[in-house]
Amino acid sequence: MLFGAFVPVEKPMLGIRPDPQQRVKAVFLYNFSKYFEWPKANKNNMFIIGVLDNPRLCAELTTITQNRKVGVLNIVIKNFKTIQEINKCNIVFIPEESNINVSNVLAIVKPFNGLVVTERQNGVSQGAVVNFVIKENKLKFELSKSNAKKASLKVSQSLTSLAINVD
Amino acid sequence: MNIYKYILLIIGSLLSIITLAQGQNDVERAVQIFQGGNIENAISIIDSCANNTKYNKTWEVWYYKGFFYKELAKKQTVETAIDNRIIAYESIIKAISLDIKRENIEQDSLNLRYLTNKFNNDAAALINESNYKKSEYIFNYYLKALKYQNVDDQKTKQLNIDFKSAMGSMFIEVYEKNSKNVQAYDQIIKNYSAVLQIDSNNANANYQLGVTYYNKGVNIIYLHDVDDLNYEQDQDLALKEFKIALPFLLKSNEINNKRTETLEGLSNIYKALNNKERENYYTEELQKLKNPK
Repeated sequence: MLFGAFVPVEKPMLGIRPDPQQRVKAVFLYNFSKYFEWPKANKNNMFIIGVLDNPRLCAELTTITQNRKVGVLNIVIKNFKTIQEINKCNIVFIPEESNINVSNVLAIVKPFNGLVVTERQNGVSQGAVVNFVIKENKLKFELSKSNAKKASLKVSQSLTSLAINVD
Repeated sequence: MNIYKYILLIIGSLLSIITLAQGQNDVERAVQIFQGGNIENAISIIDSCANNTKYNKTWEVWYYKGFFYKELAKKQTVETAIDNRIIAYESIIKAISLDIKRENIEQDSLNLRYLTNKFNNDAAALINESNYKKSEYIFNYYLKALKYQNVDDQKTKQLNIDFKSAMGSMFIEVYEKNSKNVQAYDQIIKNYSAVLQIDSNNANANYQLGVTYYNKGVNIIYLHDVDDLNYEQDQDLALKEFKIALPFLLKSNEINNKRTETLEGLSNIYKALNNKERENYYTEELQKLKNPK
């Protein structure tokens, strides 16, 4: 035979890799644990990062926090379907697609000095300490020192230098 | 007795009759030694003849040289046979050029067809990470040899596409196992870009190039140090790759809009480019495909 015989051309196909923005968010959320001073009262035996209904982001968070700690605390990632499930979280993230009222979440996490992170227009003015925004096609974050103060959270200076629109 | 040996016997006998009256010449001696089974000695003599002005303008010398080397290569592995098959091919081509009256076209064609077929098989067998350069080298001889077989341009183009796609496909397997393998990445880009040079509407090449660039962007994000909050530079680098990937994935989707991976890639790229409208469009298309009503 003179022609052909070069292995099937349709296989293998490259698999598409997942949405990278979830990874950036996960890295941000994990790193926030290192840039705030958490009140002692908050310190139970684990550091909880809660996410409102985003299993994909939780999976990323679980991957990157494996074998990592916040001080001596083990990190636990929780995916909450409803705000009623939120309990003793150190960080709570409300994703863009969630229509939950920020103030309701703030009321729940206040006794535990929880850090609320949002991803919406006016997230900071609604009371979030950190709000993810897209600027120049890149994921960045706004920071509200005054909202942090209200939650009794002390922000490190190095986080302030990486944030945009700091109040 | 196979057909080659039969032809060789006839030619050898004819040569013997011709040369009996003139006394045995070196070509005749080489044929006799070959028939006696000492292929290395026969080759040594025929090589001397090919370098000797007394003989090297004759069809017989080049034909036998081609024939002997072809037979020698049969006893070798693919990797070691390559050089001998190329000598055989070039000798037969030389023999054809000396056969002005086309008296020996049948024997020449028979050997040339065999070698062309072998080049094809060897090029395919050597498509692997260690031997891909040899494979490309042999494939070029295959294309040269095809010119003597009246193969039309369209067929040659398709063979080129098939070969480069097969090569790209092999490197995809390598790259999937190790996304830090720069050589594999470069070879995927090189081979599928070559396919698109021949056929810009090739669905497979557009898809593979689009996904390769897209995945490279995603890999930049994933290789970023998890403890480093400063993502600025890596997000910029990833965006650069996404922008390169975009036209290939758009073309791939234009050719085949039923591939979920393409839609997912497009949705993610538009998300990274902060184009909500396009992101939503491709997300909806993806959902329709995944959950048809």
